[in-house]
Amino acid sequence: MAWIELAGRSIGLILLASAIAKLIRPDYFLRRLGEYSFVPGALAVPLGFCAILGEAVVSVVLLTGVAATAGFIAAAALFAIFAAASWLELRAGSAAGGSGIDCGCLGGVLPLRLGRAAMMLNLGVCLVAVACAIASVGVSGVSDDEVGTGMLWALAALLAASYWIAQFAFAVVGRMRTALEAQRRPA
Amino acid sequence: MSTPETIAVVALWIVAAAILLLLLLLYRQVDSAYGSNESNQSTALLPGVELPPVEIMTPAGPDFLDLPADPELSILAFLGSDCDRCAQLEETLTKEPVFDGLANCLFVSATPNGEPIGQRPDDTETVRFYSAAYAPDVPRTFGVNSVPLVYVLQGRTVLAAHSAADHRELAELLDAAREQRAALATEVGEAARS
Repeated sequence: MAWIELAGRSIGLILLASAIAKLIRPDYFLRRLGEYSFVPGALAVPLGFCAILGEAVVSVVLLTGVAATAGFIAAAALFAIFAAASWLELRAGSAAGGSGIDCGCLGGVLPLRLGRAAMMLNLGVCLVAVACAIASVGVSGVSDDEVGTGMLWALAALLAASYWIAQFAFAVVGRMRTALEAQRRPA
Repeated sequence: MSTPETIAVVALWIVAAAILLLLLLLYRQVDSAYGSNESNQSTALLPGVELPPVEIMTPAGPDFLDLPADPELSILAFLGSDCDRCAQLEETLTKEPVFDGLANCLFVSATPNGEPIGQRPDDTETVRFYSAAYAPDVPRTFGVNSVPLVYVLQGRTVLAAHSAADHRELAELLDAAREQRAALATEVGEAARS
């Protein structure tokens, strides 16, 4: 089923880009992770490396197509964790009057923020992964019969790029909102 | 892929790249338009005001920071992580402690995880590093809208506050603090006479 393969490769590329970007500047991501209100400082480094390793492993599983169902379940778990992290940070941020911090999700390649829109996007990807996990039961291997290989990869890369562009767009809007709120705040 | 498919995919990629480029431009514009505005708008406590108690994390839990006694001038600097000027300020105050009449330099990290920093290798009798116990409260309580924010204090009284990192900026800030101290002493003297 082409749409499962397309979803698998798209999610795989999203996670692969994330893992590679974090590995290019691991210190940036680990510092940002240490600033999350719910992450104890001492756990930032081990948690950060677990996240990078998890993303890399799941992306390889999804991109190669071996154990697709397990890959989709793991991807759904990862995106659920990302959404939960956004939700926890939103709660802490609203309690402190803040409005989102740089999540370090792309290792500083693009300044991204934890926020409501990012949370909804991650939840959406999580739901897609769950649907694919259910639909991929019994389907094994990669078959590009319905859609050509080149087309499948090109569309998957486009979808993955769209995910990160959308995340960046949310960050830009969040940055503008923060700036406008700061201007409206009485001196 | 057939030719129309190739054209369609290439066109979609061009659109995605254009959107990304526009977003990057917009982000840069927003940053330059509002970033400087935010950092220039000082919300620091005014000279003459008494500094609220500073709660720091210690291995035993949250505790109040002991500020030096009245006649001495001291520096209380609020820092953040991943801030180049904060690192520069630390270096200036730890490597070149050459400011006349400056008794103590206290650094408070305002990163939000609230973990105790513990003894740092840079800690001396006069230069000490702490972590704020309730970092989300720091911007509101101490008017920290950008880091590093340096307060020059006499006891608990604020004499001057500004962002500073290098030797020259700190010297200017200390000069302003001394002038303020003289002005406050004059005011107190006049009030006592009248």
